[in-house]
Amino acid sequence: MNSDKPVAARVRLLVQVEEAARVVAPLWPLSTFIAVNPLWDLRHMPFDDALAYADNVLRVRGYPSPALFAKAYASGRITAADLWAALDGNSYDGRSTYDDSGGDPGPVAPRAQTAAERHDCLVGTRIAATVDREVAKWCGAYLAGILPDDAARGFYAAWREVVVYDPAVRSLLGRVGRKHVAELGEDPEDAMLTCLELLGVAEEERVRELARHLARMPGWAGHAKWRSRWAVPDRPGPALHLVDYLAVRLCYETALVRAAVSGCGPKWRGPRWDPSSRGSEGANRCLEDVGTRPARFAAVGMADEVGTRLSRLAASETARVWLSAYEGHYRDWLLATLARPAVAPPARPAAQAVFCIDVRSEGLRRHLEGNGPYETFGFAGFFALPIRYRSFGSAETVDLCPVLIRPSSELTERPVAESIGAAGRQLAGRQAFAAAQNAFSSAKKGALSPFVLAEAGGFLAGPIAFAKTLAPTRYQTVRRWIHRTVAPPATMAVDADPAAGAMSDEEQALFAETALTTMGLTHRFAPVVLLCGHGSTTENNPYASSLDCGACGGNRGGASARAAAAILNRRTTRHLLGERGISIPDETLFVAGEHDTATDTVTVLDTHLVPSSHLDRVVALQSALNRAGTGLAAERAPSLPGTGSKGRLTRPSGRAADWAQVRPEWGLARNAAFIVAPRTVTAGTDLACRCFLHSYDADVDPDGVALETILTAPMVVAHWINAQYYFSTVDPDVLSAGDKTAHNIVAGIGVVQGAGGDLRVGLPLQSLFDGESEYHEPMRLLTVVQAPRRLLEIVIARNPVLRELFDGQWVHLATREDDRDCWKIRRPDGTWTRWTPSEARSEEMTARG
Amino acid sequence: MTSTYGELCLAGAVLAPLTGAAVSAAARRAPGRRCRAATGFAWLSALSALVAAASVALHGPFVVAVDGAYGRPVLGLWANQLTVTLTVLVCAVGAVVQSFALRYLQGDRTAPRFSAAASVVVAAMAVVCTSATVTVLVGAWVVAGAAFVVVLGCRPDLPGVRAATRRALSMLAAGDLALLAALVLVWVRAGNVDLVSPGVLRDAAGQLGGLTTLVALLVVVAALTRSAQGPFGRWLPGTVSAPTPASALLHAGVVNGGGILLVRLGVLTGGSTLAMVGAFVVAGLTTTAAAALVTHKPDVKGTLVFSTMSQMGFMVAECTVGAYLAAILHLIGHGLYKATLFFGSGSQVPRDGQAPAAPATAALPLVRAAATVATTAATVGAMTAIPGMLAHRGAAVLLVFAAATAASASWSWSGRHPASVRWAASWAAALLVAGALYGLVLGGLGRWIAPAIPGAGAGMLSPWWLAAVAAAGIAVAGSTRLPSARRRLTAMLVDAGAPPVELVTGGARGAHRGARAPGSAVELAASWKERAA
Amino acid sequence: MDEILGLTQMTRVEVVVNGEDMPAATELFSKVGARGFTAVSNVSGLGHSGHHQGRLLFNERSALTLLTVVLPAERAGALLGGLRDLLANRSGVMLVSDTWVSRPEYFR
Repeated sequence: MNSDKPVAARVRLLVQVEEAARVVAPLWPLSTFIAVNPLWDLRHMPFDDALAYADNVLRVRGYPSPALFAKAYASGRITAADLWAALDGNSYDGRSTYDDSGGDPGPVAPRAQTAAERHDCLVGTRIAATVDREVAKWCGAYLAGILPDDAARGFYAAWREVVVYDPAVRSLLGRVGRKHVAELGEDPEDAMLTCLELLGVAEEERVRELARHLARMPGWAGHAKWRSRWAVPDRPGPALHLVDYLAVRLCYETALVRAAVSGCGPKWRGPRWDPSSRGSEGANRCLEDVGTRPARFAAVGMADEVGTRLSRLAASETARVWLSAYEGHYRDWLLATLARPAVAPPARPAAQAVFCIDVRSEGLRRHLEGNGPYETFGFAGFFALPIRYRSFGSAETVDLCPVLIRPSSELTERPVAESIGAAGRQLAGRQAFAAAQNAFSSAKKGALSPFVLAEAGGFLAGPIAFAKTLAPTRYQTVRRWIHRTVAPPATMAVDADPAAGAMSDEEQALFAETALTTMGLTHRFAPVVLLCGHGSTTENNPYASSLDCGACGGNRGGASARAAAAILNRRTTRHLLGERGISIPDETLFVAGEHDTATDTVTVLDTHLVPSSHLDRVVALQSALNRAGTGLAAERAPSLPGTGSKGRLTRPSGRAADWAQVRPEWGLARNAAFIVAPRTVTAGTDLACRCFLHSYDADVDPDGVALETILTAPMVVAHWINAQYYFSTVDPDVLSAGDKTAHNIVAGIGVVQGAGGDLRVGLPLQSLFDGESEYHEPMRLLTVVQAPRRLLEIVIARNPVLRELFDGQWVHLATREDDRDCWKIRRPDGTWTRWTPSEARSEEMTARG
Repeated sequence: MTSTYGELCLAGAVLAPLTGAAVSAAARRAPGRRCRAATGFAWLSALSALVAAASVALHGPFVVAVDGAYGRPVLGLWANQLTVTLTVLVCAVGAVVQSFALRYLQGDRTAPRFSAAASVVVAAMAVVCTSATVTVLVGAWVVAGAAFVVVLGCRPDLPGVRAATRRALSMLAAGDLALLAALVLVWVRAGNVDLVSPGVLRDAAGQLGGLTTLVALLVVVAALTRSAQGPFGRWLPGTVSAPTPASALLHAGVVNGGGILLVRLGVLTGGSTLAMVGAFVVAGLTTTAAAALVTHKPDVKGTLVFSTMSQMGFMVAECTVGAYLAAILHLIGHGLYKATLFFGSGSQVPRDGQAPAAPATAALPLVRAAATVATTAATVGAMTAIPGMLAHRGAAVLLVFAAATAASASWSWSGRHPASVRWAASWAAALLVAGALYGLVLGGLGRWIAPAIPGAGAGMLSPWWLAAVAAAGIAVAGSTRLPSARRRLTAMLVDAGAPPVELVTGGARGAHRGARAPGSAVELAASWKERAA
Repeated sequence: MDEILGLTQMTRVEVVVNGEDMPAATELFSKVGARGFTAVSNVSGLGHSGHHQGRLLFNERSALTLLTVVLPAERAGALLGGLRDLLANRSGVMLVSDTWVSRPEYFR
């Protein structure tokens, strides 16, 4: 490809784009929604510094609002003792003292702005908003496959072809200007270099300028970043790459700014800027409000000394102190609750059950253990099997693993020998449904066909709408019956035989060993071991994937459980495991299950694979699970809004089938802590479904490999979920998806609010807020580890990602050696300090004087 | 059941939503309970409308009115087969929207306001459908428009709602002004015209004399505005900024007001050729253009909006050619269809790994064509076999469109269906049954409503003009495939469908803060000027 | 030496980066026209920022990868400039050396 820019300049530009892209986080398509820390690529900075940078470039608020803290103080969620503890000189964040002078912390750095924003600020034009509108328009059209010519050449090339005919650009720039927009460069890097030159952006300011470009629309930029840096490169479909996206933005901006400055652009409203006038009105208006600081405040009714101390703090420190106090209160409660003696597991459990680390499993585990002699474990929902899974007859595969890894092998679901004919009939039925849906969509989009389709369809759709609104569960039953009649179910099983193309025996044994050792389940196996994944059944919910298992890449976990059970039941695997020191008795059977978190029903899957010897045990387990599920649903129900009123449609079971329900379940709201310890530490404690629980037994992990595996993958996933909930709650305007009632799905990959504009990132308001007040408590994740400290320090020392997270205070860390030891908190410099509850510390401090 | 029950129920169908609105709006606390009360009243009104329809079926049309001089009604409601069917549609849609909004808007502080305003819309549209005099019709029309603007503006905090509400208010008000002007003209010449006896309306039309064309044009403008046609319809795309229940109510209950107006005042408008031709041209062009826009919108709700514009254009075109029955049936079917699609607009995210693999053997194009032709012929045959299907005006043209739908669906099916004769046959059978059922519904409803439909006026075009709409649609669809015109058309259509800058959200929060000092701004602009020169 | 053994001199660039920076680095390689590269994942070591664990079972993005690319010396300059910028704010090292290859057409 010929270009007139030197290669060195283009390469430097690519690196600058990479640096600029730190400010946005990747945005996965809605079909596999992944909760991600919006500031993940800023984690090389400490938490507070990253928030300051994000405030400057992204214009987001990083700390919870003073209103939230005031409410918390009034309700006792934060006490004066917590505030004292947070202000303490020897506090846990290693700060020797807070800046008490109350003096002026100095000028706030001017915020990053694009060239168009600078121009708008001074003159009163609307160039920046126009650029956003045009770019969003083309991004949507490209990803929906509307632009002609194949997607192979990329977004920039496709845009260049059509923009010369665009009436909007003609009205903005004239016919001549329209051609110039597309002639800024034949390939995107050339265009970007030309544009940056024309806009007068110096080399050292490029990163800031490009970062602000990306930050203006974090949704589309996030999608582009996902596609460029996280998605599989040869993924089919139109690919919106970062460089193309920025090139299009810069082309528009350059053309519009130059036209405005040279006077041949459209007539913008507002005073025309006269270069000879100094101190024009616009400039004064812009200068008035240079950046914001978190408000300094002291809540009403505060004890005098604490209030005085707080009011003396610099304003930027106030928010940190309040957040520390907010987190400290929960930490004190949790560590005090866990500081009781360990509860021994049942001596001869009727069954053992392994659940995902998801916070919703905590409730189910508690209820199940209360229902009989059951022992539960926690492990990430993919059960150590990073696989690409193909269900029977499917066109595509799903990746059932955390997004931090790529799956290494593929497993397929096949019908059992007796069921091949039934499977063929089922496949034909599913194909018929797909063909009918396809027929409906093509009739909708035809030239003549929509008219009678609307008429005829209406007489069928009307009764459907009535049924779905008035009797959704019955409608769902009828629909499932129809589906079962046209595509009758057939018995299937996940094929784990290496001869059929699955993983080799060695690989299978390795993953099995990893799973069992990491959990600490290497001896004392019960006759039945349940591996339980989870998923969520909701209706009419674009964010359905956000309620499914994050460890399985935003998919349901049932398939992982079935694959893991199939592997662990194989004789070869058990033989190989025996050679490695894990001997599973012959009578132990692994079964798979799935927990539907919307209805709280647990189903044991693949019951046809259960031999008759274990049948009654499995039946007993199923009924215990049913009782546990009912108990959990009853416990959860009062927290769901609307369940107080009479009516089936507001109970948890009815909500899942209701297409009008915007809040079928709370998902992972109120998550707060990640506990890495044996179940004996947490058994019997009501953690209110707020903790991720990962089983870990230091006795079988002398090298710390299992601990490292847990901290570098499941903990990172939990941190992402926690950070996503935190930021979406703290700044809902930019970092949350907004009100679900106005959502509009674009190109099947994301939502916009209303008619168009930026894709929304983050979680919808209905998952975080109950009406006006926050339901989720925005706090940073507290990781609690029960392991030898020496081992923990070694693991942290040899993993930069853990150093970044712990030193930078993105995640808090508390540890103890065993249940007789005291808890210790890790400071950012790596030293440990003993934990004491804040009441005790505040007494200590007042005693010291 | 005597017709007294019918009268009571008809009155109840209008008064119940008004009571619900009052309850919802008046009380201060317990928003959940207020919305539930309003929903209860909405279902009460739907049931009352149904009972009133049964009464019409058993005892014939009746009037619930306050009579004036000469025993002619001054204000009141009139139930005949047409009006009561439309009332059942409006009240039922209103009730479903309220039930949906009860759960969907949970936690929304403005939900009682939505409930109240939606109830007023339903009540006003019910009066529009069943009013006994022109004055009452126009009055209810204006109230419905105003109440709908309140529904739109319930959530000013959502992006784009304020701009969309302003635009809707100004355009709907302009349309209402036209209708009020027409009313004034009719009052001046013919007094308070009642719609009960057809003879009275014909006399009034005669009394208009030279003003016939002007009155017809004004009524047509009002209808085109409410049904979002042509240049009068630019308010519709912005309404997707409002929450989904508002859109569902709009597309199922409010935009079809244009068709209802044209049918009920058909005698007044049908006499003027100029008005009919003008309406046909505007509606026909909108139908074609909006249908092309549907395929160039990336977002789900946007496609639904333009689809509605296209469908309403088709309905208005049917009115202008005098195919009133077809227009009414289209209005009913489309309202239910659109409401369902809007309610379910959140389910358009395909989950990975669930779509089945395409069938191994693809059929040859010749086989596909043969299957398509056969299925289409069978479907059309089944439809025509239903007695009474072809009786009404314009039915033959509709068969062309029905054939197009069957053909399109069958062509697409035959490309992807499981490879067995059994499935091909079951598709043909299903389509046959669907066609027959559609014919039955049309025939049955048609027979029920037909006595109440006004006859075709003098200025009406022939129903075969609808074929011109079909031809235009095919022409546009064809030209999007020509490589030379493709890019041009794509660019035009993508831009035409994209929302204007005011409705678009960007990272604009705080965009104007933190500028540089004035001195450097002068330097900055100077450096831009240098490079631009 | 070239003439005797029939080898052509080229520049070899080895860079150790985090897994998450691998897409950026490989994009740079393709931008300067390198025809291919070699990647060895899960390398461990000790750097000035501390230890780096090699194999993390379930996290490829935080583990280190060694990328090796060979290209003609005239094109190496641009690549080195870019890699230097890339590694300025990220952990990683870059090693540049001369190398001789027997099939230069693979690398031009």
